[in-house]
Amino acid sequence: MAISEGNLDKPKIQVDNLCLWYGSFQALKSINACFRDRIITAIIGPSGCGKSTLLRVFNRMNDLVEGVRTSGKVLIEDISISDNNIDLVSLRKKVGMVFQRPNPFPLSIYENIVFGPRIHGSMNKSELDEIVEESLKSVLLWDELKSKLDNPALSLSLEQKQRLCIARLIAVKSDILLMDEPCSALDPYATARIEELMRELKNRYTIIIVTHNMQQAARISDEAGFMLLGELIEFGATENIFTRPTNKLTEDYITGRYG
Amino acid sequence: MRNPKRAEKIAFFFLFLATLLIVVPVGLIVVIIIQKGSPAINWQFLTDIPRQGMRAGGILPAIVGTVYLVLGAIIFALPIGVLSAVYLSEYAKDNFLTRIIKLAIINLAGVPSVVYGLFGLALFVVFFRFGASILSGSLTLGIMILPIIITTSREALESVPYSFREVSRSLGASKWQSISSIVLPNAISGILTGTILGLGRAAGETAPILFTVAAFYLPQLPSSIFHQAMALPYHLYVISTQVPNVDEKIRYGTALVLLALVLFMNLVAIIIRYKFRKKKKW
Repeated sequence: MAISEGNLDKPKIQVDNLCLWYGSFQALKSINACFRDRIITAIIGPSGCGKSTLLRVFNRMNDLVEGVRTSGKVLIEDISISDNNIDLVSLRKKVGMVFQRPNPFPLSIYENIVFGPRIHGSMNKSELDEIVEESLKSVLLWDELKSKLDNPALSLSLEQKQRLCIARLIAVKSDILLMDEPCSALDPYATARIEELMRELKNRYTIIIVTHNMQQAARISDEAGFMLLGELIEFGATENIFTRPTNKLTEDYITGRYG
Repeated sequence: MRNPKRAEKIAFFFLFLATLLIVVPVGLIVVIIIQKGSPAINWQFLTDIPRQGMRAGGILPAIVGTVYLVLGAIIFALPIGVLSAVYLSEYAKDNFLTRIIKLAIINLAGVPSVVYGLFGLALFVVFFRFGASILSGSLTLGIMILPIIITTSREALESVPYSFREVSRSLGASKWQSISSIVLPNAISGILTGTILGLGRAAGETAPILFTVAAFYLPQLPSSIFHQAMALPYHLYVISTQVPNVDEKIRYGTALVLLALVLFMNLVAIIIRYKFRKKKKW
């Protein structure tokens, strides 16, 4: 995934005219957007606006739901991911997801991190040890946990669990991180620490975060999109969205008139 | 009842009483069987063949027969039961076929055990020509305990949080990888609970083995799965009703051995379950 400095502005993910239906309900309406590499893009909007659904398009997690149909195009590094015959395993390796509730497996810390690499076929103990160290270092947990790798992951604090979930993605060498309200189960202090981590990670990863915490979006994102009732109302630099939105609906939401 | 504190006390009393009433018969059964049966238990009783028209000697062939039958039933029913539970809870869509299968399982659970016996006679003994044999008996018992294993396994699988499957899939694992590496290991203690229940039932039933395997009297141990075998519940029936003048302590001794055998098998399953639970890092 070596991307030269020159094409940082090239879109990592490009969405063209994307529509999505759950049965007869249309959850996404003609979405057009570009998500750039190595920045944090936030998607904001009220509950039920389709922001999580949009996020789940990028790693095809919507496939797990019955009766989902999509139309339009989604390109990740110029490769269409909407085809039926794309390799979902490598797509999901590349595009990792952090969920709302920290959800480590009921295994040891070590086993949680090597779960992905094992699934994808690396079995060598020293290789796995290295992956564990590297992944935990990336999420700044190594020093705290290096002597407790065999402890149950469920004994960790919520914040540590969420970091562990991020480490689990780093272990499979994802380069796009989808975060679905990753801090909504955390207290403000833990939230601040996870945000710090996200800033750290954005030098190496493309991060897309869904949040209904507008302060959070303003604090950490470089670009932001505002969604309402399945439509992407406005998309652009975070500063512009929050200081001079062009759309009346965005302005109403930002200023807290609804949502 | 105006006084809520008094109402609470009365409710507590009746709820506790109802629960206590369950303990009484269980306790009495165990106490009576131990009291009347333990004088019969000695080394010869456990290791010798029956002698003097089953009025003396031991019950070894019946013990061995029951162990074979239970193991056979589990070997047959556990994999089929677990695999079909996985299919039903993880793969099956809600359609006509699935509903038929679920209905069949419910009906299978409701069939009286003597009907299993007749079914086993018709299918395994006669049609497949296995004869009255350990194989026929094990398969018949296996079919009888299938619904128990399927139902408890399904419950165990469905109690594994959906998020485990979701995360696993999001990390690129296939459906089967998610099931085999995350869902099944987390469901295993529930599955073993079902197995324990099935095991106890297979060991204790008389009717399904009556026509399919049970021998009235065999002076030697079975040496092949195509041989007939004695079994503890049937032996108990025989010495209680078919053979006159059997000493009471031999009958109760046989019952005690049957009880102890089931308990011992359960204990093994419980230990395995405990090991799995310890491995699980909650």
